[in-house]
Amino acid sequence: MYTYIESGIPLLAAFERHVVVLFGHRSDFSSVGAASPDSQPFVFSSNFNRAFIGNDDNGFPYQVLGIDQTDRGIPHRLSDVQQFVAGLPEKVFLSAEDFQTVVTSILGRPDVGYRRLSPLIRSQQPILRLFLTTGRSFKKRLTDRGMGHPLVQDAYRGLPLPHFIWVCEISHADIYPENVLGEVIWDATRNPYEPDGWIALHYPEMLVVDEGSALNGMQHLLTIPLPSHTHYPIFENNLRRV
Amino acid sequence: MNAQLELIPNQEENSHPLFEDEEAYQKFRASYYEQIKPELDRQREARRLSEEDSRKHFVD
Repeated sequence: MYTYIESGIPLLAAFERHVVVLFGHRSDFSSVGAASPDSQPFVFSSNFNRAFIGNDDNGFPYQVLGIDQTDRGIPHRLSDVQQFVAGLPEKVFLSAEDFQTVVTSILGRPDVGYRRLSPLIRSQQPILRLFLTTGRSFKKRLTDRGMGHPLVQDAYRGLPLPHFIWVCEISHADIYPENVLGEVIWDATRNPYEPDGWIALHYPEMLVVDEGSALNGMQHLLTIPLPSHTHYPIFENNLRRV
Repeated sequence: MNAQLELIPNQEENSHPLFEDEEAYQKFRASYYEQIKPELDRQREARRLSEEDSRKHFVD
């Protein structure tokens, strides 16, 4: 649920006898630096989520749906949600849970994963933030964000992206939630079982980019070394902080 | 055809292929598919059961 809302996609959350619309969330980043179990390879940004914000037609708009029920707000708890519906664009075939599976698998691999290719990321437990956006929105913010290195900006700008992309931003506790170190870009119009749906793997030390997908051809992965990389701001689209 | 796309200046000199050869790449693809398939199958089945349950509860 969190990943769809983080992408700016409203949800219909169904309770026993009622449905409400959820479209925002409330996060608490005060615990971002707290130690997480080493058995977990990643910390997801959803771990910092404390409540959702929504409209219940039985009450006032912009009410809180929290872990615990409160006197004010939507008169349910988060655990009361029985089903939810996310209205995805027609050509988005990769769901949030499937994207989480494929992206964490690739990041954890011994050949192309961060442990092998990125000494900086492996120096701390990575924080992952997943969201769906359009290639156009992603490109529109390249200059403002800087992307850590001019070559990354050049490569992304010249790469024809699909209409919808899933992005997994990679960060560390000392710079999150303002900044990130890299990201994985995945073609959201792909079947999750296709092993070559990834378009870019951006670590602080290098950018791996699929030059072939840009021409609707076979995957052709190029590695571009990135000397003197810096962190850069997270991507923000239609869901803004208030 | 791929050679026509220049993503960065002097791409030939400033980049190199991720995998040594086609065999290494195909080996990676096969191994990655085997890695993700069980979890994707499990999620697909969970979604199917959830949709079935939802249909019973909200539609029928």
